[in-house]
Formats: sequence, C-alpha cells, structure tokens
Amino acid sequence: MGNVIGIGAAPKRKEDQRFLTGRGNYVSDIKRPGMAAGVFVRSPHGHAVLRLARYPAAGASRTPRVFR
Amino acid sequence: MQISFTLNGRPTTVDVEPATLVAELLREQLNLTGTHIGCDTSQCGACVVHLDGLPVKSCTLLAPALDGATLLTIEGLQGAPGSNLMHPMQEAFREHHGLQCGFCTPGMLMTAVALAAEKPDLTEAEVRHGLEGNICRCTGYQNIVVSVMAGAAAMNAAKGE
Ligand code: FES
Ligand code: FES
Repeated sequence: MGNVIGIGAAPKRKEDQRFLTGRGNYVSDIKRPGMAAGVFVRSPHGHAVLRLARYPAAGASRTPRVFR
Repeated sequence: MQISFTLNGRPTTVDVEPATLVAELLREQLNLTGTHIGCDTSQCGACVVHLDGLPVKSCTLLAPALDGATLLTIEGLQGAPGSNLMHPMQEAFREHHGLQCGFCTPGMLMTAVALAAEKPDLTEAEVRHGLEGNICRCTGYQNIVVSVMAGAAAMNAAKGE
C-alpha cells in the first residue's frame, strides 16, 4: 500500500500534528476582547405566531452587558 | 483562593474561585485550550487530563483539588524529554488515522496513555472497554482502537530500550 497514489492511498494528514498536540483552534477556543456569548431562545410551540417579543427580564435588559 | 500545583512539569500558582472547574481553569485562565469541553457533564471524555498520573475528567474536578498535585494536559504530552518528538501514542494516532476532526483526540490520547501505562499488554477488548468514557463523533472508533493498540506496543518497546 505504501506506494499507492490517488484512490486507495493513505497519505499522512497535514492537520493531524496540531490536533494531536492540543494546538487545534476550535471556535470555542477563540477569545477576543469584549466577546459576547450567544444564546438562542427557540419557540416551544410549533407554528406559533409571534405577537409580542419580550426581551430578557427588565433587569437584564438594563444591564449594558446584555445585547439583543 | 490560591492553589499551587505542577502543570506539565512547571510549578504553577493561580488565584481561583473555589467553584472553578479544572477544565475552565485550564481553558479560560491558563489558555491551555487543548483540553476540550464536549459536554460538561462527564459523558464525552474530551476533557481528560492526568491528575497525579491517573486519568480524570477535568470538567468534573474542582480546582482546589489540584493544590499540591501534579497535572498533565495534552499540551504536556511528549516523546522522550528534549527530543522534540511526539509521544508514541500521538504518533500511533497519526500513523493509523485515529482522528478526523480532532475534537475528541486530546481526551482519547490522555485516556489511552493512562490505559497503556497501567497495563502493558492490552487486548482489543480491554481497549474498547477502557475507552468507554470517551466519545468520538467522527471515526467510528475502529481506527482509534487500532491506534491505541499500536501506541501501547510502541510505549512498551520504548520502555524496553
Ligand atoms: S467535557 Fe468532560 S466529559 Fe465531556
Ligand atoms: S475525531 Fe472528531 S470527534 Fe473524534
């Protein structure tokens, strides 16, 4: 198998070294100054009509750290 | 509170909230993001590190438990000291395609190294049983098992030298 080229070949992957040594960079590994965390709130009802969207509790919305 | 421990061979002192998980401490405070959090509920094994030589899920360990202990993370796993080589288990995973996206890989490696260190002549059944706490969504495990068997054999051979 060693000298197979193309289909059937098992070449060494270039990305493996960093994954094997803990140096991959996954989305959750990225840190930026002032970074916010995203939260999805989904409707618990199928085919519901959205009449009024109330954003997080009044207290939370007054906090400058909560974006919406 | 202040805790002191040996991290990947280096004496380390940090200030932590006592309720901090070791996985968080490593990733957020010490910027060692090789230890992954796949579930945060002790199921996936992506966060496995060695505490005093034993594999533990760092998402289920509180930072104060580190005080005075020795911790090894994927960043500290290496071949013969000073050689710049990867650990034989890491080499085996590369050689035998024991990874795809690589997310589960640090935990797989830490678990595998501990397994092989504890029992040099691992059987395939023992490897499969030993990896029960590590979930991989990519590989289907076949190549991981092959890699661990090969890595364990290589660790043994290196010991004999
Ligand atoms: S993050 Fe620790 S077991 Fe999944
Ligand atoms: S290689 Fe992707 S989860 Fe295991």
